[in-house]
Amino acid sequence: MIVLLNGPYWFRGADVFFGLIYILVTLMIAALSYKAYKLTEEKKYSYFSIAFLFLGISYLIYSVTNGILITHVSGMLNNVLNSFDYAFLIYMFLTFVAYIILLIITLKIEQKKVMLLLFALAFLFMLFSYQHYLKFHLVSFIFLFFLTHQFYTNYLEKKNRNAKLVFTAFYLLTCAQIFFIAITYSLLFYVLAASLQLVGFMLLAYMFMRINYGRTKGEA
Amino acid sequence: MGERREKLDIIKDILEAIRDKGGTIKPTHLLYKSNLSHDSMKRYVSELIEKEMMQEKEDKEAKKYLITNKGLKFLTDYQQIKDFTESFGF
Repeated sequence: MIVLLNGPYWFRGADVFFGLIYILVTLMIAALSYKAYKLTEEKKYSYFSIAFLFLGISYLIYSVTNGILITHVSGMLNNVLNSFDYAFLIYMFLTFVAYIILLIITLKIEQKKVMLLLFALAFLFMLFSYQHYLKFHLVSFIFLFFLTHQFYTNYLEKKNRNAKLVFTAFYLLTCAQIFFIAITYSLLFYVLAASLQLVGFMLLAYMFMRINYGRTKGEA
Repeated sequence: MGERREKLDIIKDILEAIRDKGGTIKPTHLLYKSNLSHDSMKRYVSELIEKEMMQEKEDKEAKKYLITNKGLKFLTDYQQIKDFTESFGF
């Protein structure tokens, strides 16, 4: 069964709109990282750009599929989507790849064996999973937890506002995963999770604006 | 002891040294300003010439290095990239 439609009925459509914001933010960061790559020719920037591009595409797939299911554009397409979890699987796949790339870069993992292990575990978990929705958010929580911890360490080291924004944004994205899992208790948790996720992405957008359009004098 | 400079910072220091000297600099002066070993400086200079961020010019007096428009653009974008890198800590 397709597991894209979640949350209370009145909230349906709102997360599609949120998805558009996520797409915009992730693509902006991907573009900035690509610019850094063009300037420095350092591969880490190109991988970082790819990670955010994958996140953007995954949110695009998520939003489009959700949008189709909500608006019932095509009855036949709905049947296909309801029969197969393809859309969600692709969404999962791209998101996991993105998180793993981000982990490899931020944790500065250099051993190829460790990289392969991460990919293998994530994909095995994804393929042999029946409760895609719950397991997706559980694995996402683990990946995001480690990313957040790394961004927190970075913030303690750099002590600047942009690093704090990145850490806070990822902290909220991590917390959101817990509430996505908690929807088995109440559908309202979905609203809370989606809202936390939205604030997280808004913080990343704010960080992007600060980098692109200047910062306050005297501020790090 | 100071922190080890990242590649991005070294490139910025080299290009800034040329820009601050009015766009041209002598190799000896660049060596002093960039705070690099002779071999490292040669390596960076070759790379920056290859990337068209600077040029080498030889006249009657001596060899000189010039900063190009691409090099000046790098200096403009440097702070942005530096902020971005530091925000995510990679």
